[in-house]
Amino acid sequence: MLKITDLEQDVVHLAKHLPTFPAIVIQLLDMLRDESSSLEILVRMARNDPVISANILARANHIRRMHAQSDLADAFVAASIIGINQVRRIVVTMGMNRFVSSVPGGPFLFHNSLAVAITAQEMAAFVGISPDVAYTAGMLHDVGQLCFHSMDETLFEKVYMASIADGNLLEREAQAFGADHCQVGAQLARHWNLPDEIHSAILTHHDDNTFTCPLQACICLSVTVACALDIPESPKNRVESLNSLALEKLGLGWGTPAMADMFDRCVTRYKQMTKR
Amino acid sequence: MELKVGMVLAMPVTGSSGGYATMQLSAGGSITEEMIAQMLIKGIECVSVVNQDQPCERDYALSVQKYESRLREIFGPQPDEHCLNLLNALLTRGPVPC
Repeated sequence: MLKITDLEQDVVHLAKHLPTFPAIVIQLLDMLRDESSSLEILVRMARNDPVISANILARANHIRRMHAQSDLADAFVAASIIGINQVRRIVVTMGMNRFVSSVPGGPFLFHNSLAVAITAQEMAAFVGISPDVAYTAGMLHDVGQLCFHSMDETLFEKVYMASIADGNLLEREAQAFGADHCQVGAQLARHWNLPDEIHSAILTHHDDNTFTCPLQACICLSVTVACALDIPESPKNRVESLNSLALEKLGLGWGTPAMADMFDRCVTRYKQMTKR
Repeated sequence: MELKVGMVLAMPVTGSSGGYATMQLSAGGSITEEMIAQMLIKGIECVSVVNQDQPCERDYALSVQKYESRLREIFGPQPDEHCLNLLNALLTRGPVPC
């Protein structure tokens, strides 16, 4: 496919050429709607996945070793030590990493998504939205770019580099591919039956004049803040505008000690997670 | 840096499970082994501690200079009012001592 002409149909076609979105992440996203979803169901899904199980065990065994206790081999017992929130985070991060790792441009996309996810999760604590949902939406916000990588990697890189000079990434994408990565990502989210609020956050994460819901505002600002914090480090990082409406609706101010602490935590957590 | 027993919290730490706050540590408190274990259980990956090592002045000045120059590159020569507020907050905060 050279250009997108019918967003809905073309994205369904493009999705067939992408690696399968991990079923466990979709199940997890369904469960995120229900705050009372049980750890047992989540672990039952996760224990069939060796990479996710290994990560759950590693986290729990790290805690046990501090108490000079022997290592565990049961993912359910391990999950009950680290709790449902950490299990959710592991499932989304590992699932997304696997999803993008086989696609050209995937590693940078993963690191950028991780930076936005961590920032969104930290910001969520200030604005009263679920840190888990914010983390997941952050991991998925740029998923539309995967389609451009698979359509024409060289052209996408050219578009991306050219947009650094003028900041017109979305216009250049639309000109080159027939739609921008926000539109394509949102359509992918619909195709995968992801929750509406995640769909909305993906669609407007570059729109600096829109406020649809607190999650959308949080993701939009997190994209800007991650860029400003230079995580991941990249010559492409530029801050040319900021969604002041989102800032106002969320009641956030940048100059407080708590916010300075949040900036530090975002950078430190990102560096810790990527050095492993 | 790894969190160690005896370090002093620079900012309060709140841990939660199931949507309820279940741990509250105040700034200024010394960290114990049990606190570290509780933080790990609650999924707290990062806390602020008081920096007790005096950094080398020259090295610190260089890292501030590098940090500020990179920020000005990211924000461009004429950031608008809203971006300028974020830039000023980041300049005031200074580089992260990882």
